[in-house]
Amino acid sequence: MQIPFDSLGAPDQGVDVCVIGTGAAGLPIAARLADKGYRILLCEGGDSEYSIRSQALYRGEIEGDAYVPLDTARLRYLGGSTNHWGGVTRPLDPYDFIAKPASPQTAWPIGRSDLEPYHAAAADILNVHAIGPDTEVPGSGLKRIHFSTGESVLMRNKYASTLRDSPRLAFCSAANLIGLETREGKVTRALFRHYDGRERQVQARHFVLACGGIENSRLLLWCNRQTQGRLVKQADALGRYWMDHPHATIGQALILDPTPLGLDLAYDVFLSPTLDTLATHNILNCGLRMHRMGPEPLQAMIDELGALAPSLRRRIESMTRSGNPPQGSILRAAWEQEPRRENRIELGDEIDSLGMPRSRLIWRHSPLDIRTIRHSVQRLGDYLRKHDVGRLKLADWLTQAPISLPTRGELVGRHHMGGTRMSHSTEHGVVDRDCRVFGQENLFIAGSSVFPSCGHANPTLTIVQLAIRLADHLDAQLTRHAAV
Amino acid sequence: MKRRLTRRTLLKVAGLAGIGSLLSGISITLAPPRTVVADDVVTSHEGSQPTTVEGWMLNTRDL
Repeated sequence: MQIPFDSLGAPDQGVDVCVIGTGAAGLPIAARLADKGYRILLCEGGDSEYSIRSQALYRGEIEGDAYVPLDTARLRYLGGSTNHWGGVTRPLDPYDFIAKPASPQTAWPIGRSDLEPYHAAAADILNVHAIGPDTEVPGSGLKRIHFSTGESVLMRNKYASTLRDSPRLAFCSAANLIGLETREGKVTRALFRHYDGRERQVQARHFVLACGGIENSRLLLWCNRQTQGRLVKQADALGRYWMDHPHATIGQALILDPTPLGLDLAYDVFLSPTLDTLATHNILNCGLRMHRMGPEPLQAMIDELGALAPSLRRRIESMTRSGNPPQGSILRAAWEQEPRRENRIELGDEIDSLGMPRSRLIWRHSPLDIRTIRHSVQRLGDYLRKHDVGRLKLADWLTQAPISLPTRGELVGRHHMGGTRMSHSTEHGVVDRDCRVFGQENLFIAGSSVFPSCGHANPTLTIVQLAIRLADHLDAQLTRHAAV
Repeated sequence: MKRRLTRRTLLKVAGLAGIGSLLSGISITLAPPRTVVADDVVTSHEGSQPTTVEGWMLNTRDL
């Protein structure tokens, strides 16, 4: 049920878990715990629909390499950024959880086996279709992979009836978190402010911050400053190791034989380096995306290639005459960014309408980020050529030395990850393997901000897996306390 | 004889250029393509060397 702002913190409210944020992480946690019988308060800073007053709070500063404006990369209202989610996702690879040879910082304190028990429930929430198994492409160092590309789920629609009817889930919009009070390693109160200046305090047994991959860092940084560092006592890693998936058009390909890669049956084929390839070439993970090209650009490509390679042109003409013309592919890629301390969220100088510092993103590509895409494309080009499957043309930016990533176009996936990363220690992380903030007994973080590293896969499925895992952990905690 | 030597030389250059471009990532444009037109349609790429021409990752026998 939806409650008015003024009823927040009412003496009879008795909240078991206060969940702050209603996106891909917050809503599933709130709904799952309410289903289990707990009293849940779900607070959303935005409104139930898009509003300028809320979205404007997402403006921020950017320092470093080209990035998309922070207020266009995410949405601030009920459902969060699932309101513009494209519906493409897949689980992280098992080796995304380990320390990769190219960067030991990629290790998670948990493995994929810790998330697999939550896959079915997460897939059900997101309407994720069955995702086919990965299959190695012989002689390529690549494997063919699959994504779920079904209709995207809007969380606010998915949970509309729960929000409306659940007697145990109280939902409040326009409730902007502005502070967290802590005493003796426990959060005692959360402070919320309405756009008109009204404020309310909420007490709960547990608090879950689920405000997205930038806001989780900003809010913790701000609340920590307010408490003179008593909220996150070892805050060395807070806001740091921030990542996105670089995205770019990497070239095009003429496909002479579509069958080895499955291009005879599919319009879109996805490939990724094998673990051996990652180790051999000292690179991180990468998703290569081949999209069937239309007839006009295909002909233009053939004309260009034919002028450069007349022998190949004769082959193409012969294939076309025999009714077996080549195909064309547009090549794109999304790849893993190295987790580095230098890439971070900070509190900016400008103050927003709620009186809080805006976000400042400091974000740059590393040499490893560039090597990862360069070698991944090289593997594909070598395979096409050596096995006579096709010929690849590198995008212009990949032919320069040194390589600089494009400053226009896709740039990134708008997948905000890291900043409150999961770790064994406060030196490299903010939360433990249960997503609990180090040093706080009852404060948890949900969402992609806890990712220690990011693989190349679109993160929504992993976010929801982690959210359900956290809900079950809180269930166990609350049950244990009730028994005591 | 003259044609054969020209083609062989160009193929050698193309092979070296391919290796060089693999290492440096630099696109290398070869001599005008018509000087290396093959007499027949190549169906086997055994023994062909990698080369990069205007960003295209090719076999020398494509030329």
